[in-house]
Amino acid sequence: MDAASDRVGTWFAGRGWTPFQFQRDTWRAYLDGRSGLVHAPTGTGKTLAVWLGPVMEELASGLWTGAAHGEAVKRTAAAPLRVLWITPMRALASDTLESLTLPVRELGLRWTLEKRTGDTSGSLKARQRERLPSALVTTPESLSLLLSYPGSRDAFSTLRCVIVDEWHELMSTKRGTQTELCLARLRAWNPGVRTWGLSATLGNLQGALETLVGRPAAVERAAMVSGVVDKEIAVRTLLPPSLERFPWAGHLGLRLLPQVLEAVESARTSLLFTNTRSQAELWFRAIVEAGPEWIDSVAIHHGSLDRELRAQVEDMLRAGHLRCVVCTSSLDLGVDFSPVDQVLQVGSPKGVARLLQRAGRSGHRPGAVSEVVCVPTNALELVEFAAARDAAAGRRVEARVALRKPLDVLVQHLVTVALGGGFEPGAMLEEVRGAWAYRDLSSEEWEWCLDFVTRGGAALGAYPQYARVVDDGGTLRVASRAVERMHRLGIGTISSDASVKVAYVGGATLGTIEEGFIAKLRPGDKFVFAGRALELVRVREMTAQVRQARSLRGAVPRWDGGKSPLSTQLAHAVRSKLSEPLAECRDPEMHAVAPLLDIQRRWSRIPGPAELLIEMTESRDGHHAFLYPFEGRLVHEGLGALLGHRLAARAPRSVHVSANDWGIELLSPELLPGEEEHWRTLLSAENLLDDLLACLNSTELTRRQFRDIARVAGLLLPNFPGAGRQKTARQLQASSELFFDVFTEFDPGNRLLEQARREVLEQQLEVGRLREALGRVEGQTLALVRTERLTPLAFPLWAEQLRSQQISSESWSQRVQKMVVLLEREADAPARKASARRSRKP
Amino acid sequence: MSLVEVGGERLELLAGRGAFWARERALLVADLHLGKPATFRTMGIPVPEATTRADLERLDRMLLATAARRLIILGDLLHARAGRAPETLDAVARWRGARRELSVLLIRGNHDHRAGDPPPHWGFEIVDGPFPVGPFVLRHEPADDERGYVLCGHIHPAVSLRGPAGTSMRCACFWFGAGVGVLPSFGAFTGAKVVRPARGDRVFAVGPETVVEVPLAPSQY
Repeated sequence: MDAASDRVGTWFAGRGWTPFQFQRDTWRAYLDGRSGLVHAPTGTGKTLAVWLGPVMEELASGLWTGAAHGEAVKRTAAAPLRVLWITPMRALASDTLESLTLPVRELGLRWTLEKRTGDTSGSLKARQRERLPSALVTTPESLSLLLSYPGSRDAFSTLRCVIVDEWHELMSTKRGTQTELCLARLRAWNPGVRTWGLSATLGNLQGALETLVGRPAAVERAAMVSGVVDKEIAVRTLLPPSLERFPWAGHLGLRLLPQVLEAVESARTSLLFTNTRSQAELWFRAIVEAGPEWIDSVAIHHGSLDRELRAQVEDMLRAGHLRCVVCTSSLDLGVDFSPVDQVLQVGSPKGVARLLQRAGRSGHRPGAVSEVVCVPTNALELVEFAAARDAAAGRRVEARVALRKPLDVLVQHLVTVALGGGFEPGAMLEEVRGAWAYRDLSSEEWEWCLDFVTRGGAALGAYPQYARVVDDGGTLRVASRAVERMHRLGIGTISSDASVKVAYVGGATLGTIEEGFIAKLRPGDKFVFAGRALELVRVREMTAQVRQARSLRGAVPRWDGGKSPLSTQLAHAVRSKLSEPLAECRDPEMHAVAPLLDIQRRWSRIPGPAELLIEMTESRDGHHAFLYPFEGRLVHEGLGALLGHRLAARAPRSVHVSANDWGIELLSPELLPGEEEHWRTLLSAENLLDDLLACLNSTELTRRQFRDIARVAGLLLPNFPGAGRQKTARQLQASSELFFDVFTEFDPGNRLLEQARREVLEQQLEVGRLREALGRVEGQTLALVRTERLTPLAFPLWAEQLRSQQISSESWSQRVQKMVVLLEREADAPARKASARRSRKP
Repeated sequence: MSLVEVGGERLELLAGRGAFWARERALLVADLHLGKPATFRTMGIPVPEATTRADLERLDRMLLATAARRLIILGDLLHARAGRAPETLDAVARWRGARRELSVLLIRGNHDHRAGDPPPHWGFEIVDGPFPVGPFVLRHEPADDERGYVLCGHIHPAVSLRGPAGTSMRCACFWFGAGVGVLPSFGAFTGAKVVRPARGDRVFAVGPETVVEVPLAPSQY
C-alpha cells in the first residue's frame, strides 16, 4: 500500500501539487475500509480526495495496472466494476468522467471509465449489460434502472466503492431516498462496499452522513472529513440611484440594468444568477438589446434549455469566449469555470448556503475573497441582502432535512427489485430498513406496500384483476411485460415534473418547459424562451411547436420554476436587521432603504424584535389583516392556512390567504377580529395538529402534494415522447386529481393519501417550525395597527398573491354564488380590467 | 336543477351529471367510461372497483327522481377492451336486470368502437351517430348539424371559476352553444378539461347537489 501511495504522491508532485491534509485523511480512511463524508466548497480538491482511494487500492493489488500511457484499455481486458460515481445532474456526468479519467490514465490503471445516463446510446448500454466498465458515472435514476435488470446482482459483485457527488443536493429529495434504497441493495449484496459522499457546507453534516451510510453501526464507523475552510465572501449591493422610482414589490425589475452592464464590463467573465428561469430570460434579452456589442458575448443557461445548447454555452464559458452568462441554479453545481471572475445575484438569494455556493463560483485563486454583487429588483430586497451578509459572515448555513419513509418511493423501488430478479419479502424488509429513511418502517407500513404492489390496496376485493407484482413460489416478480415496460419508463420520473418539449415547427429543439405553462397558452400567444421571442403554433404529442415571433407585443410575461422560499436563517436575519437602529448600522443597503422604512414607520410601525405586527385595513376587496412573523414563506403558508381555518370554523365564511417570506395576508368579505385577545386565541399553539389536519381537508394543499406521489408510485403514465401515440397509453390517461378524488371517496385508508398529508405537514407546512414559530409568538407582544392604506410591508403581499388559497366553511353553492356575483360585476364593467389590481406600482 | 331551452325543447340539468328531456321522458348522459378502473388495474395501476357501483347508483337516483322511461347514452359507455372485466360487466348486467322496462339507446363513441358493443343480453339499442331524434341530433363528438340542435359528449367539459384574491375553482359543466350542447362526463373515474365558450354560450357548473348557471366574464371567451 505504501508503494501505491508513493506513486500517487509522485503523480501529485509531477503536476506541481501537494496533497491537502484532508485528501490524505480521506485516502487513509478509505483504505482502512471505512465509509464517510467529505465536505468542502467547490473547487478545492474534493474529487481527488475520494477518487484516489479506490485508485490506490487497485495500484496496491497490482492486478490491473501497468497500462502504457495512451494505451486504449479494452473493456474485456480491464478491471471489472470497482467504483460507482453517482451525480445528481446528468449534465455533470461528462465533466466528471473527464476529471476522473486523467489520474487513471497517467497512473497506468487498466480501468475503463464510462457514463450511463438517460442520454447514453442504446449500443453502449447493451455493451454495458454484457460487462460494466471499471468505473461508472451515473445518476440515481439510471442506477435504479440498472438494478431493474435480472443479472444486476452478478454485475455488481465486484463493486468496492460508491461515491455520491453533491449529496447535499440529493439528500433532502425523493431522488435522495431512491439513492438510499439503491445503496441499501448494493450493501446487502456486498457488505464490503464503502460509501463516500461529497457535500458542500451544511447546517447538519451529521445528518448527511447518516442518510448516506444507513445503519447506525455503519454511521459509528464512518469518517467525517472536513476539507479546506470556506473562503471569505464579500457581499456588495448595487444601490438604486433613488428609491423613489424603485418598485415596492415584484421580482422582474430591470431598473438596475445600466449598473449591471457597468459591472459586467469591469470584469473579464461574469455569471449573472437569477432565481427563476423567466427572470433569466428577461435579463438575457435586456442585455442583448442593450447594444450590438453584447450579442456575441452574452449567453443564457438554465435547466429547461436543450442539453446541447447548454453544453455549447459551458464550452464557450470555459474557453473564455463569453463576457457574461445569465443563468439559474443550473450553474450552481459542477466543475469549475475558471475564467469566471465575478458573480452577480439578481434578487434575494433566499438562503445562506446558496449565496455561499454561488459566491464560490468566482475567483478560484487561493486565498482570494469571493465577491457577490447583489442586484435588488425591489426595495425590500435591500434588507434581505444586508441580512444575508450577516448570516453568511456568521456561517449560519441551512440544514437539509432528509425525507422520512416516503412510501411512494418504496413502492416504486419494490417493483424495480421485483423486475431485477425478484425478492423474498422477509429479506427485503431487512434490506429496506438498512436505508436511513426507512429505518423505523413499521410492519403495518411494510405490509401495506406489499399489498399495494401485489393486490392494489389493503382492502381485499377492492381491486379485482389487479396485476403489478405476483407471488412466484415465495419470490415476488413483475406480472407482465407490459407492466415491465411501463415501470422502466416510470423510473426516471421522480425528478421531472411533466414537461413539454419546445421546438421550431419541423426544426430544432430548444428545450423543455413546464406543461402547466404551455397549457395556459393558446396558439398565437407569445413568450420568451432560450433568449428568443417565440409564438406558439400548436401542441402535438408533448411538443410545443413554435416559430420566431416578430414582436413581443402581448407576450406572456412569465412562467414559474425554481422559486424558493426564504430560509429560516435568513428570515430571522431579516427581522433583526430591520429592528437594528439605523445610526449603528453599517450596511449601505439599510441606508438606501431608509426612506421606505420611514414611510412604514409613519403609516404603521417597524416590528421590534419581540413583537408581532398585525396591520388591519379595508379595501373594496374586503377586510385585510397583514401579519409579519418573519419565518419564511413555507411556515407562513402553514400559519395562514391555520388562521384561515380557525376563522372559518367560527361561522360559515371564506378567507383568502396569501403568504410571502415576510408575512401573511388574510382577506375576507366579512369583518376580521380586531381585539388582541381574539388574535391570541387564533395564534395559540393549542390543538395545533388537530386543527392543521382538519384544515388540510379544506384546502388544496394535500391535493397538490399528491401529484408527485401519484407519479412516483406509478399511478400516472410517464410523459415520454410517443406515449400519446400508443393505444394503451391513451386508455391509461388520468390525472393525479382524479386519483386523489377517487381514493378519498372509495379507499380513504389508502396510505398514499396519508403520505400526502404527512408530506404537507412536515415539508410544506413544516409543522415543527410552525410550532416553534407559534411558541415565539406566545412570547411576543402583539402590535395591532389600523392603517389607512397598504404599507410598504403589506404591499408586496397584496400585489403578488401568487399562491393564495381559499379556506372556506361555506357550501359549494354558497361559494359558487359568490364567484357568480364577482363574474357579473366583471361582466358589467368590462372596462375595469381585473388585472388592474395586480399592477406593480404602489 | 337548472333549466335550459335548446332546439325548442326544455332540458332539466341534473347534479347527477345528466340532462332530462321531460317531453320524451328521456334521461341523457355521456361518457360513462365503464371499465376504466378495471383497465387500469390490469396494468398494475390500482383504481377501486367501488367507482362502478357508485356510478350505477347515481344513474339510478336520477332515473328514479325523473321517472324516465328512456336512457340515452351519448357515447363512451365502455372504456376499453381490457376493461371488460367480469366484476364490471356483471354489475351492469345486474343493474340492467332490475329495470328491464327501461329502454336504453347507445350512440357509439370513439371508445366504444375499440372496446366493442355491450353484451346483447343487456338489450341496448346501439347506433352510430349522428342520430336525429325530434329537434335534436344525437352524437358523441361535437359537430354542427343542419338537421337540428346537436347534443353530445366526448370533451368532458369543465369551467374554471375565479374567486377573489386569485383563487379559483374547477367544476364539470354543461355547455350549450348556438347549435351544439355538450354534457359533462358521467363516470366517477373520468377527468374533465376546462373549455373556452364563445360569446353567447351558456355554461352550467355542476356541484355535489346543485347545478348553477355561470355568467361568463369577457376574459373567459
